[in-house]
Amino acid sequence: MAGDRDAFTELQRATIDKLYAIARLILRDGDRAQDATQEAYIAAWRRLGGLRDPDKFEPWLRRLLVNACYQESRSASRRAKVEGRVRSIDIATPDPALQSADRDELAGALEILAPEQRALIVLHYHLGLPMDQTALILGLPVRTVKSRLHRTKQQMRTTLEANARLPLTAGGTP
Amino acid sequence: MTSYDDLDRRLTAWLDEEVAMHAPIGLLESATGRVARTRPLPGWATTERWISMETRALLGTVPRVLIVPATIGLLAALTAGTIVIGSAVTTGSSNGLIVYQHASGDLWTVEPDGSDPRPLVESDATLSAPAWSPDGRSVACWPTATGRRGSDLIVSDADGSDANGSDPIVVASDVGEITGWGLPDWSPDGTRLAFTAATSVTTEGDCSLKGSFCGSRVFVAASDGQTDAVQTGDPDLDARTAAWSPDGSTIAFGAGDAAGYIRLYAMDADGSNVRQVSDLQGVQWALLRIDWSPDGTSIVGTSGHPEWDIWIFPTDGGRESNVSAMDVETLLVDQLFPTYAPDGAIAWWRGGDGLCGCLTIREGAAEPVELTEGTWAPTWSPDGQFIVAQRQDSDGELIIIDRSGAVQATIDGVGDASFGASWQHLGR
Repeated sequence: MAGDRDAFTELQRATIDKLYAIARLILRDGDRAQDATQEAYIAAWRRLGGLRDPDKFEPWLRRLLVNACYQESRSASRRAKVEGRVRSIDIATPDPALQSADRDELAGALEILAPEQRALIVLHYHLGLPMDQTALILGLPVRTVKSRLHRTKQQMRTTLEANARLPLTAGGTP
Repeated sequence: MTSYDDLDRRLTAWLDEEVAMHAPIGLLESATGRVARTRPLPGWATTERWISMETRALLGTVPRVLIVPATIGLLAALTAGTIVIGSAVTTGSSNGLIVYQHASGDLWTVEPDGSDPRPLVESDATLSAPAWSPDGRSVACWPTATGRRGSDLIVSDADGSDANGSDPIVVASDVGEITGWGLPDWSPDGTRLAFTAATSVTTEGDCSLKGSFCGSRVFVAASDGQTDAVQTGDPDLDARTAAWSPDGSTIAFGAGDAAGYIRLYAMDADGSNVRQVSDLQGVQWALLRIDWSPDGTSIVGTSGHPEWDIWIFPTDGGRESNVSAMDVETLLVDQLFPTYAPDGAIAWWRGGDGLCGCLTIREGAAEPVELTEGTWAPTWSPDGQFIVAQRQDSDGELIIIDRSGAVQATIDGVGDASFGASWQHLGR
């Protein structure tokens, strides 16, 4: 048992940065992302004995993380954490091609998506996973993932276009 | 005018810019610490062992597909005036609150119709496997406390008047790993709780081969906490899932060797007169959950190998009968988690070529009827008209269905629903 736990700790060490990054993108909240990351590891540890194919560990862990993010976003009564937390988030150098206003617009459009939609966006666009891998992690048929992605992007386009028109309808003031 | 045709590229660039490169300081230590305090489940007790990721992905849309016919059926039934949602409340029958583990780790309740989710017992620990007392005035559960070797079994006042103020009573402390179905079983008079848990005792051979209840024994605790739990029964017999008879005179349990054969046993409530109820033997999931018939004349449980079926064991020594395998097809699928309704109907989970889990009921001598797919761990309402069960493709949902299989309500935000939920009895 101790050996298993040591091995699992090594797996945590190797995966925690990426897992936290995914959770933070889905939840848009550092504290909740920490909670979701921890819950995913606990679920993985509890259920590890049932994993039949070790090659599936990474997508399986990501599925547990996505589920933990859903749970976290649903939780309406999170208790305040007693212990202080150090937020240490290194932000990569901004892409000069991405203008500040554009970033804000995209952030706003993502913000209003459901966590399920953001998970889809993060897995497909940030991790670059193909549809079948995205579907596997989300626990959905590929066809469903494709149609959801289409609808999600359509929703984002609508939001972005509506935001772009707002200043004009308000009188054209910047 | 801005063009949004390059949304894909912009999204990728934005996400790359936004992403956190490193986890916060302390997160790894916190996560490893919590994992170290968490007990892993035996492999056979996880859904991953039986249902692959690919299969679960294929099942992803099943519940949504079911919503349409379920809604149509419900509307038709309402039009015909045959059923009323929430009839348990409006007709004054005995259905009370449903208690379950919320995603926050606290115990929450909903009304019998699935409405009004709210916290009942809050704790810094994660509260698992809640079980209402027979009079509906208390809830027993297992807090997974941090930094402790064993669990405590606690009983909390649950009159609903104060979600935070009542101090739970510890009725069993520093209990070893809980084995079997997990829910503590209240004696019918509400004065005692029976459960099975690991002890330091090990039988001959390797526990990793003998299964999760190697060294496990039956314990009985006083529900007022005045005396600590005592181990009872045969000190040399590995046991799991203790269940009181309706008259409180007998405790039944599964016992034996998970890698070899598990059989049904019973003993007097004081731990004496341990006897084997049946020669029928099973492996692994066998007798993981057992339930007495309301009249106390039989016990239902899963047994058999290599497939599992639902068996009724007469308590008078009569011959056991398989009530789930009606033909070759049903003989070859796994059938688990049976439980009796007050009128003697039995609900359980039926597998299907590993592709679906179908909640199934058998009323009297009729053939079993499959109610709804993707659902397991059923619990009957006290009036026997509804079932609350876990959505198999979701870690965070319970559903309430009626006896026709129509979905009455969905409860989301559920934590570990592996053992279903507990339904409060009113008016006892």
